[in-house]
Amino acid sequence: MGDESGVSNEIRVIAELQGLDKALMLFSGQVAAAAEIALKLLGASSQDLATDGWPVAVFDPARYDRADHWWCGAGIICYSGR
Amino acid sequence: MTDLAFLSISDGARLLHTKKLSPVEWTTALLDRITAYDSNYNAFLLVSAEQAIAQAKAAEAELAKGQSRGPMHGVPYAAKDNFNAKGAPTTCHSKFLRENLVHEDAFAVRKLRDAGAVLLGKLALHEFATGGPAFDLPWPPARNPWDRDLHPGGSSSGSGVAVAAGMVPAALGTDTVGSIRNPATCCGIVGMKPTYGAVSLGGVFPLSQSLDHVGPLTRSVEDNAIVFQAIAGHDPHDPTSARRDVPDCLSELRKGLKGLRIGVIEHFYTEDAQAHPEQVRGIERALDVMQRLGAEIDHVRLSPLPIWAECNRAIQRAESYTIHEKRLQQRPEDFAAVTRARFLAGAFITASSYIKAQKLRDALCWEYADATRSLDAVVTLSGFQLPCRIDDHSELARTYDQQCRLVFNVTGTPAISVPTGFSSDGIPLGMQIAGRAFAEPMVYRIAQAFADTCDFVDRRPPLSRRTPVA
Repeated sequence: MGDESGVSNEIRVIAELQGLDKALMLFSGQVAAAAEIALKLLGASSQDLATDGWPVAVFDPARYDRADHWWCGAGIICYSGR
Repeated sequence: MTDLAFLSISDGARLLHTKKLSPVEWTTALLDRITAYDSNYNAFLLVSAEQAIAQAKAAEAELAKGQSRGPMHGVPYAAKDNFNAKGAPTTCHSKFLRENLVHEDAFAVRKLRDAGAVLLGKLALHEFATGGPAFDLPWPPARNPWDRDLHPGGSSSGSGVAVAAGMVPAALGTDTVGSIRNPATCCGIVGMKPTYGAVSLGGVFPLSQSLDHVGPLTRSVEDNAIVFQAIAGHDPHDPTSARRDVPDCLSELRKGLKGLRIGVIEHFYTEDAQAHPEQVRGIERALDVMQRLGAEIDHVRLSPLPIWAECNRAIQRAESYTIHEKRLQQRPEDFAAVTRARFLAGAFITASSYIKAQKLRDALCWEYADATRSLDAVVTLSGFQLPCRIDDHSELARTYDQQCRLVFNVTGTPAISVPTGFSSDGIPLGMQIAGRAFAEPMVYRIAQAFADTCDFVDRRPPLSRRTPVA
């Protein structure tokens, strides 16, 4: 269900909760398109990422230089086709 | 007679230190060139001529007394207008920040000021370092010096244009999804996105704090390494800044490729996406050259490019939204349409998606580290298409995001864009060389070895002075 601007009720509710009433009024098509893009992100690739572990580490690129790591061999996630 | 417009930092520094060239002479020549050409290319938002001359005179006086501050002493440069420079506004090319006068330098600008470099002004960008070329902003978009009808890449668009057009030998840029390497590729110059944390983000207007990087754009690899060394180092005020010594990127710059193992990530541009054949031919020629120089080339497979892109975009859009939330709520009409479209998406990314994206990033970083553990570097394309017309909105929408630069924003590892030649229409082609975390010296070494074989690096863009009627 949506209104004549093409914005679904679900997206309108989220946008209004975010305080984007003015953007909805002026740029409804852009709001709908932005929502469509955002809600699709990580759809398929996030299936295995839900865990009760610590959510996010402080990003440190040097951390990955170690050979031992938390997911090695655990089969949690590896997209590599190697 | 020396062509001051295209004088390199390394040659310029030698001339300055032997007093065969004055910083004032170099600065004045570049300011004159900016005056002559920039109305046609829009690289600069602000030219600070008086301050630049004053800085150049100060450098001249010190050099005359034999007091050297290093290789950047007396060297002109410019900064993307999301870097703070005291006494000037930081506008981010946006209506929102037109009057945003700042009183402190960004860390990188301060490092260059302390090194005696001469800041000529502030450079155009895509609004708030995202989106694309826009004509609904207070300033026009920068244009490609090789063909002003084409876009120059971005978001560090003015940085790419100013360096390629011989207005400055170096410029500072920022890179969250590829914004240093995109203009470097499109303008035929060298752009380095260093390791996350190697160069402080202090005093730079953020786009997405966990993906933002600061780095240099130059015409040569050696100049790039010189500027990187000048701006790198720990910043106690930036929580993301690494506590490491600045690496020596120059002493092994010309050690060559013999015995090095270089991986090529081909599936990004042949399977996950179809790149323009001339871009593919460019990188294939480059790989042949590297092999002839003694490198062993291996094929590397990583997760498909869309996985990397989704990870980068979910994080970037969520973090950007937190920065621009109030502006989107109160004055959405004051953004360029292309910027607003990008930022609005962040409103619909849930906390769960953001955290999952960060977890995905962690896994992808391990994957990259594992894949590159036995390699010295990897090579892949930068942009997949050639730059299109700057006013062709549908072609911009189709082609602008066809790239694999964002992969190295996800991993936070260093990646440099270097030219691989020109298309049949004379448009620059490019590729990336990427390394492991904090392996900038190796990345520069490989880039230098390749650049030394290229006969096209001295080609100059055919600038025009007259502004055509729109």
